[in-house]
Amino acid sequence: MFTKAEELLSVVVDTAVDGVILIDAKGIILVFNPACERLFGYSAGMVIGQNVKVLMPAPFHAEHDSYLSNYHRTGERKIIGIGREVVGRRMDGTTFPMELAVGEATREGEKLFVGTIHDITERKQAEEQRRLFIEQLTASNEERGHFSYVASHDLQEHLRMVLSFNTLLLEEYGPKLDSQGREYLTLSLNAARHMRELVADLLEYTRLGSDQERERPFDASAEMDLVLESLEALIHDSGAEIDVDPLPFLFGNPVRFRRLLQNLMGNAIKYVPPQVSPRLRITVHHDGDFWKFVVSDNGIGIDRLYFKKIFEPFQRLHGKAQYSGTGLGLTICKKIVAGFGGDIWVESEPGTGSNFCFTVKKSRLAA
Amino acid sequence: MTSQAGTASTINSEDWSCVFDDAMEVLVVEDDEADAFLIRKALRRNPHIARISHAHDGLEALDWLDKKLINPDVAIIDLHMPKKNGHSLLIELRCRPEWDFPTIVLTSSKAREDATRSRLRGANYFMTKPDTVDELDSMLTHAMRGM
Repeated sequence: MFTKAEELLSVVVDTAVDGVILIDAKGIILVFNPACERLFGYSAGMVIGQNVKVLMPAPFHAEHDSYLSNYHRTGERKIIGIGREVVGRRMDGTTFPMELAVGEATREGEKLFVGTIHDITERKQAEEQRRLFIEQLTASNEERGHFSYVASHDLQEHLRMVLSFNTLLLEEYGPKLDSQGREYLTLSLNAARHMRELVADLLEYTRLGSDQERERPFDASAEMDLVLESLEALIHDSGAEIDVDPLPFLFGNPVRFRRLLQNLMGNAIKYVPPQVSPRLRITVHHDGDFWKFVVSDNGIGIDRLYFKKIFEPFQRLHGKAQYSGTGLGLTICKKIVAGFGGDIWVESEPGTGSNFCFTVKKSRLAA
Repeated sequence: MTSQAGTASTINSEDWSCVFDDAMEVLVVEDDEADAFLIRKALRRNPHIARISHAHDGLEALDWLDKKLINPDVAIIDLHMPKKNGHSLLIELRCRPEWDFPTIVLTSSKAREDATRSRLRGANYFMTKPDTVDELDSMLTHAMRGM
């Protein structure tokens, strides 16, 4: 007769959603609950008394005996008391992934092992689908990046020809054209130059995602000096006043950092009301694990409506005649900042200037 | 367009009377006709250049050199060309001590590895093709002045 506790225990085993299996020290199956029957397709009567190997596919099937005897001899555990993902073999020969946890007991001097089995087929399928999806996404991204790179490069080649020959046409035949003819030619040259800038920016944008330029510690102040040098003509012509904080050492790609500053400071100089001299201030602050840079200007400012939009490709808020540009400058900035593990945003009000803020992750390597 | 072995008459070169003692002969190796036109145009602006020969690939250039049809003082070499590209032409030039004229790589590539590879193969200058003949003229003149 069973005691009440034993009865309850058998209810637990019989109704458990997960498979429960009991084997002896030699691997002979003693208990095979209904969940196991559903999982493996065997009835309890068919497997009780058989070696548990029958539930394992090759090569585990062949290795199980030596695993058990090795455990008895050395105590070395692979699953017992640990639990791991293994593969089960159904009666029809098909296999399925399962999570197996094994507990150990000793009864009347004999070792017994209780295995609980959880079918993880669905989880594995979902994982596999996710892996495939990421693989496809990566491949299609790479392909798109490569395509844009090649397309931009080839476009540039033809544009170079258009520019070269149109310039020659204007130089050598300009005097023979009337003023309207020269105007047409000048307009077409300007369009080609603009397209050249645009393609160069596109090329740079796609390169940001594809090439793995070497990252290293660098002095942001030294990069700032180079930026000021490259903007020299613009600064001189606009009469811009620029005030820069001492900048920290950073870790990353210095050329990209330079481009980031160039774009932001170039914009700050460019977007000022007519007859106003640009005043820029570049400050840097500690912000937890980040450095926060702020490029402040006295420019035309930006309506709150456009705070996010300006970082999207080809979003221009002004006519080309008013303020020139390709519409990719801030998109490039956003991508560069992301590469530095940071974020970029703008704080501004129309008529009162803008603060372009970006963060760069501090690095111990740069210290 | 490409010269056949032994047919000296197909050589594509310009020779015009020149009053300068230091008159230079320039070899242009370029597969693109439009680019070759622009390079010649820029070179013609330089009064020190008396002769310009235009080969369409590395093989044609080597053939002319081998047969002593040309005797350049400087070569302007494109990188991406059929038959024999600029990089392998540079290697062949280095293997022949008698061809010790300086070389200028003029390519549409801005890739740093192309510049490095060109220099390792002995190119004296590496230039990316500019947008106008004016720029090309000043770049080439500057390079040749430094030789």
